Amino acid sequence: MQETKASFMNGVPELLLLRLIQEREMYGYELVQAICDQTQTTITLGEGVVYPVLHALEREGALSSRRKTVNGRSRIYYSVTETGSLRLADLVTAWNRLTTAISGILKGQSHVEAI
Amino acid sequence: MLKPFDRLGERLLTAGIAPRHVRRYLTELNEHLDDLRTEEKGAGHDPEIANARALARLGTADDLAAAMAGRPEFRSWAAREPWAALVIFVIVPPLTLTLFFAMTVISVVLFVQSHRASPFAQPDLPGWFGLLSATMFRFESLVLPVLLGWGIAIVAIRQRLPSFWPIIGLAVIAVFGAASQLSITLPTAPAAHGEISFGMYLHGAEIYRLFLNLILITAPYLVWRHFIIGGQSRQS
Repeated sequence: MQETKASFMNGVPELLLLRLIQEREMYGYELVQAICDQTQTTITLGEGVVYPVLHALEREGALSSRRKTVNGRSRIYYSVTETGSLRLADLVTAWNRLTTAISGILKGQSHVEAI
Repeated sequence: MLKPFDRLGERLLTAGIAPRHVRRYLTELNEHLDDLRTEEKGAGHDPEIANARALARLGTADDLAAAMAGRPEFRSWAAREPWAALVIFVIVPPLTLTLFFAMTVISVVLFVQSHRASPFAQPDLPGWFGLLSATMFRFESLVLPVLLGWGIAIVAIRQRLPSFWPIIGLAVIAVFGAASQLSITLPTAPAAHGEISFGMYLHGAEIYRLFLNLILITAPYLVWRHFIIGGQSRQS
């Protein structure tokens, strides 16, 4: 299975992680499995590279973390903050505009809304 | 025996990532690796294969390093602001030592003055005060420079900094500690003056102190650096 090319992934990891964590508190391994499951492995990552993204989001105040023990295993769980919810809304809007614009080009439309 | 991510940790520290971010990253990678091993074993692989598959899923060393090293927000203060090493290692320690000297002198003067019945009366000092002030001055002259030097060494080693500024800083604090002479003579008769003197000179006994300081301050850093940083270079 090939990993998704990094150049096509700019900003996407943040969007996916915030969206998944918004549903419920999750830790890194769970998040990667959720991404693989929900994208039917269309998006696959070197699983460890998710942590710098999570740490950066936490540093920006978009995520908060706490250590929690579940089934005898202690893991760092992440949850979305209010700032994170706003950031997610912005990312979703930007993503929708981008995909609409690209779809327009692919369908050969002459006018595409400025991004 | 090396743990799975020891080399990655060294690589990130050398790249200027702050130690606390490296520690957190490695902790989560190790926990993730545990989960992956469990999953692979659950899929029927024997432990060795499960471990290899888990490591492969986690990502290559280059990818894991690049993911962290490419984020400037995780860099240490010394990596973000190289001039800060000059300030922290060379300027701050002598200033700290001077500040301690000044605070001790002021405390002694205020204490003595507060124990005079009138401005020219002999101060009625408690018996322990002479011993305490002498001990404080000895601590600041002999022990504090060494502790400051070890502080420099710990920061420099933790952040895997190039040795130029730390070595200069260690040498400066060794010289400053050896050359600073602070002494106190408490007043012992009515109307008599006490004496506090501070000077900077290097001859006779101070030269021996300088050598002692250099050994006590720089040797642990050089040995530590040799084993930690030299050891990593030999392994890679």
